[in-house]
Amino acid sequence: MVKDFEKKNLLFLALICALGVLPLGIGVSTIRILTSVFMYIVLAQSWNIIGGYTGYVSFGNALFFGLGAYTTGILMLRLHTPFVLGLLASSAVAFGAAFLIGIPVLRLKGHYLAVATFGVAEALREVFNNLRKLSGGGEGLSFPLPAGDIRQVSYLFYYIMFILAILTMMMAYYVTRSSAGYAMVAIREDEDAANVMGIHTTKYKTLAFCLSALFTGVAGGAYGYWVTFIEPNNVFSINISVMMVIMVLLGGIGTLWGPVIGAFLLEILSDLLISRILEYHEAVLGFIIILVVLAAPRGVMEIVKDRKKFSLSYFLENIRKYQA
Amino acid sequence: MVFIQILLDGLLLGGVYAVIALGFSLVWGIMNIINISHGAFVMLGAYATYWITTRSGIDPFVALPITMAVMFMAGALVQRYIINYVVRAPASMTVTLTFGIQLLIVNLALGAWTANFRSITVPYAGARFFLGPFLFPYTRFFIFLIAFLLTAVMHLFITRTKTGAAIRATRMDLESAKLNGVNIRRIYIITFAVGAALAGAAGGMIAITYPISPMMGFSYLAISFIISVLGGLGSMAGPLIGGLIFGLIEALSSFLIGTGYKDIVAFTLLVVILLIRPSGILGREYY
Repeated sequence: MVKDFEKKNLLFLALICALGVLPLGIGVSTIRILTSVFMYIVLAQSWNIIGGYTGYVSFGNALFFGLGAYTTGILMLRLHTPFVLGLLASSAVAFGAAFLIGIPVLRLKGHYLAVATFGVAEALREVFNNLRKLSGGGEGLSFPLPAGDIRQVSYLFYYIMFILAILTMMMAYYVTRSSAGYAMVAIREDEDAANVMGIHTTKYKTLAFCLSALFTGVAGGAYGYWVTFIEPNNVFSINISVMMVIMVLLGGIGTLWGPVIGAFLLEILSDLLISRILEYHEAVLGFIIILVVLAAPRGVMEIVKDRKKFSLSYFLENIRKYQA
Repeated sequence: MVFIQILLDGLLLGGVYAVIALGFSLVWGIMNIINISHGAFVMLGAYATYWITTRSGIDPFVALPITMAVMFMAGALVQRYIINYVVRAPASMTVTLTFGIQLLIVNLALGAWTANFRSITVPYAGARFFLGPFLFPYTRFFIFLIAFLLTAVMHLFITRTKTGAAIRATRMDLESAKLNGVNIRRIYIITFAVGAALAGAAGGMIAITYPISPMMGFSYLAISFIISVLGGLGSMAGPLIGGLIFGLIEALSSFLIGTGYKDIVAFTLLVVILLIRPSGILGREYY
């Protein structure tokens, strides 16, 4: 058991080292793809904390991404603050917004929660579309250009997203192994029972929502500086909220490595699609989403954990479970 | 005077909104599925009416029943061969699945019909009548009447027919309904197909009064959310009341605050209702 644990840790360290030196040997376009994989690992893992471990399925987490992007953007452009300060502010704004939104909204469950979180994200999108003086409104906001040549800039964002991904993974790892993490899982399994057992459910589900917002906001700020131009319809898009959900579903909901696998597979796949068939890539993406939900409702992680489940009978049992 | 005319216009538009939300609220209430592809079905209905009208030259109002029949079939196929497999899965799966269906439909429609706006022109498009000092275009007034008609027909279908009783029974208690010989799969197919047919009718109504494009559906999806929540699930009167009130609110907020802010008002309304009264105005547990 101890040996197994050490082996896992070594493997993890080796992976981090390999990914740390990898960009030195690959092309700029591959670096870009990996950067967005890391970004989606941050988003998916963050969503996993509220949607996977706590069982509160939010369809509006893009709002933290958007708030983060605009916080960094407005600070850098209007107040000329350094980028790092913008990121710190983004994390604070996202965390605070999750606190303020979470306390009332997390009283809802299931479908009503899904609609409410979607509603909050859409309302904020419209607010930023209208705040012309502050956010540039629907015309969008241009960030100052980062210094350096293309390769240096791509290194910069590769390492930023890479570090964010590691931080998010560490947060998920430590939170889910803490008493707060057990409280979150208890809320998912049976909120009333958790309440009776003395768990302060409002506190822990709000905490889960705030933690899921934290790095999503930072990733939003980094994304804005990376792509140098943001607009409300883009960063508050429901597509981003749904991507978080579908990546977690594909990888395995409520697992530590599920979001990583999901983000990696889906981002690589959609990148291949965009470069091959630009016009119909959304249709193919829609098709893949349908396939993922129908054929792999428990995600890839389940098969990784237990190879015996890689069988036709288990697959059929799985897809028959929810049908009428 | 202008103010009352604006309210009347809002009310007429509210009739269309009611029909948009009618099918969405039915599927949500009976099957417990939030159908993200509902807006895409509205769009398909609009294009069905557009193509029937422009190709065959028949009146768009006559094309409405044909559109509904086509969309009924489409809805039945989508339910039977896609949604049925996860119909009782948690929200994370059904919402994501219907989002995928929406992406697929809209992107294919965009490829087939381009992003250009199209509109149906009828010879009586400009015809109107006056009621006192207030102006009513005939097309919008007819559409308003059809909205009431569809709501009434749906109410009778759900409350007075045997299939309607089976649909309600499925909603109340799935296992008991099964034991009493209700074919759940068939009931779900019918419910979803009726929802799609109503989306088609709403799309046709929109095509008669507004220009249409493949991207039009998403805003109608948002409207479906708001009206279903506002009116409340569990009855056919809910979407009608919700639609009319929302039509008024939208007209008022555009007039008083400005059109740019009407979506902020709408989504804020959605969230506030969910927080203070998630069951809506007429919401109840069962149909």
